Amino acid sequence: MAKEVMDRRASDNKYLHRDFHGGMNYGINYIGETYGDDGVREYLSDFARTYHAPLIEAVKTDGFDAIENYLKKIYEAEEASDELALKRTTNTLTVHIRSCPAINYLRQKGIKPSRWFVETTRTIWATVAEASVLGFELLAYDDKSGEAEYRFTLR
Amino acid sequence: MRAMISCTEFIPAYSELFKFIDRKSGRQAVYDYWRSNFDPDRAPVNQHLNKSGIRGCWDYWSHTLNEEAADFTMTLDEEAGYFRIDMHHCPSKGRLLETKHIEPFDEYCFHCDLYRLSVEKHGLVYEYDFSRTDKAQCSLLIYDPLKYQPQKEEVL
Repeated sequence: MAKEVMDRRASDNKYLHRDFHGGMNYGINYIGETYGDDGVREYLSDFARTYHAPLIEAVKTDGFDAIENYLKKIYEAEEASDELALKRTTNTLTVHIRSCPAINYLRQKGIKPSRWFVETTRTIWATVAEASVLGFELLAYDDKSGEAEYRFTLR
Repeated sequence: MRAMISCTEFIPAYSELFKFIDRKSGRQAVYDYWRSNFDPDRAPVNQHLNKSGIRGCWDYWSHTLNEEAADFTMTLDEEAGYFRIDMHHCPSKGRLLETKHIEPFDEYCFHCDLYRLSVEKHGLVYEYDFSRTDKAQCSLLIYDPLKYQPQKEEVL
């Protein structure tokens, strides 16, 4: 067979590699098994403070708008905008995830979600909220569908 | 509670994970993590190699590099016995370099060397050039030593 060549520029494709959900699941599980619950929370809170530093500053300036804009952007990138519902009052922002794209992907691939996967939401948002002087609370969850609800409150 | 770090934000989370393990347990623990993560028993590239030989490299990286929106040239010559990737701009390292408020793990790119665990299991040679990763560029050559003898400078 003749030589085959594939030549691609970044602009030829959309950046959406769902296999990374499997990589995240494996990494979280490894941290949990090696360093325990506290290790998972430490890793994710370190990550949140570092990576989400611009978001934290934006929340301090723009409040709930910054969180809404971030979530809309992320779920749009995941081609899952329909899974996200946001409800605002003067003092609260409630987020309802009808179905989690990451969990959907893992289940589709036959990968068992790590028991620490929950912390990719709980610890990260608690850290962002704490750093930007908001309250954060998990309200509901469902392991099978990935449906979830959480709330930010003004302090 | 099931929710997520978006797959579009995995790369900084991955880099920070390496840094966390390094802080907690030292560099060898990072290498051990890579070895675990790239174990052929769980590596998709190994399944492709099992199924299609060196063409499995083409099949595997065609999927991943297109989904990652990489800027690359990939070449397969089964008759000559080689496969190569010339990464003109790696989307992962590129993102880390562009995200100015985080410092990438200093050996971030080296985890890609662990694909060799699967490749060498199939009697193929795995050569990687990491000399231009500061520009988000690299080259990879995989070949069958019974068919192909690369020039010394070919990978560079």
